[in-house]
Amino acid sequence: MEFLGLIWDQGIMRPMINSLALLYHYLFLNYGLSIIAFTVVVRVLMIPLTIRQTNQMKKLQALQPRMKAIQDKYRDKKDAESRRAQSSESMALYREAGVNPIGCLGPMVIQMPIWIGFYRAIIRTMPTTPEGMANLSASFYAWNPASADVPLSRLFLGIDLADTVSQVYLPLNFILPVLVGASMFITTKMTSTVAMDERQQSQQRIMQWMMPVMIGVFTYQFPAGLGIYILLSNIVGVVIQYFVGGRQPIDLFGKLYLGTAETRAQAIAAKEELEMKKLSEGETEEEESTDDDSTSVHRQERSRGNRRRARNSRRRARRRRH
Amino acid sequence: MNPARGARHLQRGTAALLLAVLSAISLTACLNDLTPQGRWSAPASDGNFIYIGNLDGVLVRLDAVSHAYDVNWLYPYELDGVRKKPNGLGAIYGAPIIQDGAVYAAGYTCTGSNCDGEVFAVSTESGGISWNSGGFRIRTKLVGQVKPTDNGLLLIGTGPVDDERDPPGYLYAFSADPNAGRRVEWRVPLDGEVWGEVAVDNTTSTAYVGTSAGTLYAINISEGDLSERVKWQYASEGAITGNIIFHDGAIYFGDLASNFYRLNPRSQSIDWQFDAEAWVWAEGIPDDQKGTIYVSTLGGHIYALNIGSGDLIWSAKIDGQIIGAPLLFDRIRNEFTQRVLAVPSGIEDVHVINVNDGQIIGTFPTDSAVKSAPVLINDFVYIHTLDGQLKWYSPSDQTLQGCVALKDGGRCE
Repeated sequence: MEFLGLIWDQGIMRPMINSLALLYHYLFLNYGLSIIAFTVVVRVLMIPLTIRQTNQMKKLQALQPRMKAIQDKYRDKKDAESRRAQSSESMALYREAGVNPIGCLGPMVIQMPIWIGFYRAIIRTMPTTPEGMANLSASFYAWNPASADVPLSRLFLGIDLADTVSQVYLPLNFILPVLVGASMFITTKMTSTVAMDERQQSQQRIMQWMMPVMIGVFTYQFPAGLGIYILLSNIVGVVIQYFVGGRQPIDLFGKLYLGTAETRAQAIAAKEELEMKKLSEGETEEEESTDDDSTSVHRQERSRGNRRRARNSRRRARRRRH
Repeated sequence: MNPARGARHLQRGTAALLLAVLSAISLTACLNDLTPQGRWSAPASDGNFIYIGNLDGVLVRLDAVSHAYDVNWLYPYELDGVRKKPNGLGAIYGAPIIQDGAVYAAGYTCTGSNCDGEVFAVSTESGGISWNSGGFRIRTKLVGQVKPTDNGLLLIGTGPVDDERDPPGYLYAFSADPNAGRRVEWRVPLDGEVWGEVAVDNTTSTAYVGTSAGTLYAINISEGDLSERVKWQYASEGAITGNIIFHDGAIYFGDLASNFYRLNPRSQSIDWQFDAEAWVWAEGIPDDQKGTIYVSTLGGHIYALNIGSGDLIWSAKIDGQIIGAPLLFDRIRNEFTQRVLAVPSGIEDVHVINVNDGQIIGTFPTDSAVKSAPVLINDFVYIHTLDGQLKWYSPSDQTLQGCVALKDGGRCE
């Protein structure tokens, strides 16, 4: 445990504290600018990881129909032998495509210690107690010229960066958490794969909403500096993801934003294909149906609804192309 | 398990873990980093009793001879029937000051950036609060110790008051008369927080106070309603957090840019400046007998400097930060007197250093970090450890003579 503490302190906290202080020293003794620069540097350093994640996502996306086929093949087989077979077939598929099913979690896992470290670094570089100030002295590398700048100025655009967001002036104390939540929502949207079935889709929907809402709520109690870091990190992340991901349009509430003409057309086609697939699945289920009358009526209505939605979608797509 | 499903489970698990960790740190970090802990208070004595601030921010006292803990004398308290129940201020950093039958001290605590402090005077006789109506409460940080002046004032530096960011600090002057009502005589706005003790030159009615913005102020403490109390200012290279001392017509102080200065108040310029290897927090200890001043740093360095020129005579190093001021005393051992410094370590122990050559020649074993200044009272060296105990040692052979837990007066293990 002591060893882990040492690694955490020497491997994450000290470099982070010294980097922030050094940036402060060279960026006009402004901690806000230091946070902005630090965020950009961290995000740029993570670009190789983002590229890797995007590639993994694309590969996973391409594998979805084949995965679905395997799932369908074993849908009604619940015995252990079938499960093992399904698992090994899936793994073989991943191996063949060179995909690590949990590889896309990389940036998230790496971001976690950065967030926690950043949270601690903000509090430690702007101590408010004598103990905190004395401890900070032990965190500086001997060569760091910023150690003579202590105490670092905590004000940026009228915000005390060490104060919690709740203590920031109105209405920024509410705007910042909303922006953090919104930017996280867009990030999650951009990094999630297209769901192939309804269960997966509903799970994704929960994830896409739960995380941003929770982080937004937490941000209200975070130091303002950390709130600014998360917001900036998300914005820079969105920009990087947009270019690394081949300028894919961002789908927000059924509307497509950004993207090139080509990628937009591809996205529309993919959406249509998905809807058609759902529709055809609905029809198949309808034909196979042997349920009672009320269920049958209900399904027919649903099927009619699906067909109507698909027609509308095709019309919208045509209009967009024109 | 199906790998695809496994990946989804892991994704949900990671998200849950992330949220749990974030919520845990958001709740706990404030407590650890934003709340002052205190325990840097050195003891003070009037010969009969030893007074000290404990780990809850309560001023307590012990009999100087029997070391019995006086349960009826403490401040602040709340009454539980007729019994006084401690109701601490949070943290007391400075040593108490004993003057004219009263003990003066200050303490504070903070919740986030909201701080509550109190300067108070307690009668040494009755244990009752002086100033008629209780201590003087200010919504600010009170880190440094109070400083009495010859013209009946009590001075203390503060942080920002009443949640106002500007000005970031004040020098407060209270009436020191314990029988009068509590009264602020005047206050001077400063450009930074004050964490150290104020130095006073009574002959010229001047107080010297250093701020976290790195400014040393010379303040006129004469009686009367003056329109301008700031006589002059000196900008040092770094924040001034430690005590300032006025000795033999000169001002000595260190800063967080790792400098130690001797300043001439007449010319308002520095006589010399010494570049240390780390932040200077503890006050310098002048030694007139040797014509030396001992300077220590948060890096554990101790320097003996020629007090006239600032030239380095020797340097030594201990493990741990030096926050409390070292104690200079004559150690008598086998009828042989040796002048030594007792230097507290922020890791553990108080080291004994020979002032002739800087050699470490002994240790007061404390089993805990020490961030207060060791004090010599009635032939014992008293050390307040960071775990909230007061220990006393034989100055000649550094053996532990006794120990008391300052929270409740219980004997230590």
